[in-house]
Amino acid sequence: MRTHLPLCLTALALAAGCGGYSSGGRHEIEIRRTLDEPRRGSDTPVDSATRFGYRRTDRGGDATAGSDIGYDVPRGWEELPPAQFRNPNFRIPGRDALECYVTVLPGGGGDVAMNVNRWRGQMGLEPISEAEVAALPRKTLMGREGVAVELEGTYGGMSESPRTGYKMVGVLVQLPMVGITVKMVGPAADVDAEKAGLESLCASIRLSAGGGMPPGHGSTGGGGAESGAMTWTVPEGWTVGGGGQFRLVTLHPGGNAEVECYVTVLTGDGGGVTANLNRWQSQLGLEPLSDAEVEALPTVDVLGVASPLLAAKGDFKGMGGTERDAAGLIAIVCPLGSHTLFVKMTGPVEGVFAARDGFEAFVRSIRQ
Amino acid sequence: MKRLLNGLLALFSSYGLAVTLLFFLFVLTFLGTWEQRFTSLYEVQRQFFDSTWLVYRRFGVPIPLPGVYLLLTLLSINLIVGGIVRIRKSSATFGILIAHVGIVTMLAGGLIEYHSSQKGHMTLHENGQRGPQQADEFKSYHEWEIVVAEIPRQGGVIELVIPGKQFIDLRPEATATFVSDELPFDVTVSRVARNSRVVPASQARGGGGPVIDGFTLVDLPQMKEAEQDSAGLYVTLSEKNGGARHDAILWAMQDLPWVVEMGARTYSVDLSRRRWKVPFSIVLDDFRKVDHPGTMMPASFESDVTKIEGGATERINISMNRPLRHAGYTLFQSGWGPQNAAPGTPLFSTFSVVRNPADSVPLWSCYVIAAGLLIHFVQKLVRHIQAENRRATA
Repeated sequence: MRTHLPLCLTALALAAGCGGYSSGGRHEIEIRRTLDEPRRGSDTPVDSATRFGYRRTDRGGDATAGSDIGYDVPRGWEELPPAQFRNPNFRIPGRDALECYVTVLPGGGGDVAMNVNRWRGQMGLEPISEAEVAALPRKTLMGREGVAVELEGTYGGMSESPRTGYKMVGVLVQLPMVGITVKMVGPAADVDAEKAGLESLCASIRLSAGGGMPPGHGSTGGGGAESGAMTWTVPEGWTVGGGGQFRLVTLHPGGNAEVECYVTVLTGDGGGVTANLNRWQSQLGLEPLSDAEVEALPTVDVLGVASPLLAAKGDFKGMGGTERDAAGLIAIVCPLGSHTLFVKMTGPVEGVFAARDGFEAFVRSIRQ
Repeated sequence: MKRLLNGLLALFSSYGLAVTLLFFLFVLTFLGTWEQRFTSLYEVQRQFFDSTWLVYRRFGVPIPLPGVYLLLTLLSINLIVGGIVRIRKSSATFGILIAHVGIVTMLAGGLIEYHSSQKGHMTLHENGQRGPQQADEFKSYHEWEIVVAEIPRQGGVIELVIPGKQFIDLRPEATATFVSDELPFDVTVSRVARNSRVVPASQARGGGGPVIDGFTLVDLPQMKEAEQDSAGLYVTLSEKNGGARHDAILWAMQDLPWVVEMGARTYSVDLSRRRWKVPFSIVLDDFRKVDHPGTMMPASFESDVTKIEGGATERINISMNRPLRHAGYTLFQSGWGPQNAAPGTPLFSTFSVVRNPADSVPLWSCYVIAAGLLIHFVQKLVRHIQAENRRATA
């Protein structure tokens, strides 16, 4: 039995493993399915450029790797047709080996560390730890703080033959629900020569007008700014800071990183005015407000709605575990029917209350 | 002949076989779990758990192993022959017998699910603005199919479907030809890539396959999440009786199917996720999402749909804990989007659709196994107490 058993298993395995479809062959099509009408787009021949999305026709349906971002083509660069994960896509005349493109990945395509190490792998380099990724230089892209990467090595790319003496430079930024990367790779000398063009491209990338990018993708700078369907005026001296989850924009009065003012939009009532005011009260260790006290709060006109304004002080404990003694909070809740707008400013009590006038001017400037 | 039969019975009912099979199951479970570090769950399932045999390569050494499908088949035989047919029938083995029946039932349920189940998703859009609002079919997350259809000037369409299992594992140098009396051509498939990209030939720089109409198909490494793979392949339609050949690239991310005109007849050829029809139609009337207060994290989401079947309509609510069960299909509310939508944007709702004739078998087989083990345990306990009492009084 001892000798029979492995022989039986092997024989059975080999017998069962024979056949299959990996060797090809000739097969009868046996499955039929009936439809009442042809599927969309199945009745008219089109060329490959149209079929693969290099030349879009007005036929609706899902866009693939579509870009809702605007940009200025750097001087001397030319734009190529978009490709999968490359939109926009560029070439530099005279530097045919150089590739430069922007990738917008819904969902992010993995986190920043994963993508940094993916790029490192493409350059034949060992991966680095998350701590080392966090220590990489920073660069602003679309008003958000991103990670800047500069790598030298042997470029393998995606199933291409290895090329030595290559350099890859790029920026990766993670926005809520979408990741954006700008990448240039080619012979090191060509990359160095076109760095200025890459800088120019990164500085020009913005949301296109009426773009479908989500809340939380932020503005591109101070002064007038916009995000999706809302616009506002950034108060003088205030700076646009790094992004955060669920935020349309984050601002810092007077450039003070300790004080942050951010805008959030939630569908529906977002839990309700009183519930949110009392959540903020509890974050400061304060007693909840009664209905009468909520009614008695001062209001600010935001988008034509008299929005209650809460100004409070206490010891702050935020949702993310952040703690701060002697904290200040100024916030408004603006119910707009189908959605609710929240603007909240937190930080050291002196800094927050010193920026109160700017806060009120900011929320009054919001337009939809 | 009798000796051979007895020998086979002895083999298939032996503890040695059972232990060997369980050992290999342990090894494959370990290796499959280990491999999930490097590849998608779907690929691990295909390679280790859905196969009859496999070659596992480690440090360049190929190690042939039996697949879990084969192992469980043999284990079922072992349980039936050894654990049910040949087991000594007595009150002492009654509980064990019941437990063995439960295990065999569970394995049978797994076999039915493997061969008969259908799993996929159906995505419907509010208002039909950005996609279909109504559907009577759902798509697989992982499997592919090639669909060939003649497009009539008017009226219905008959699609001829080549299932993915018949081409997705095609070796690089091999071709597979599919034929049908309903088609005036043969369909030949080659250079199949499980994940790929179509690029203009000028961008491929020597990589990729043959160039067709200025484009080439470039192989890509498979994604960690198999749902993100974009399969691609080369297809040739060879008109019968020595007629013309028509070549094209089919790619999962293509915007439109390949449409070919042959004389007065028009054919479409498409590579898409495998589809299954359901015997009713679902229309998305409204989708709602409720967030946790002060956050953008959904606390719940639900869809109001209308089910249309045989001319009759029925309004139904599908939510996270209340799926729609009908005609052997179960529709679960599983997702929504676009998750980055600005307020007021029409949303889509995604339903996971499952058809599994044996979906309640695991539950009932667990009951049977538990009952058998409980009976056996109680019998053992009673015998032990009786023996202890006898010893005490002796």
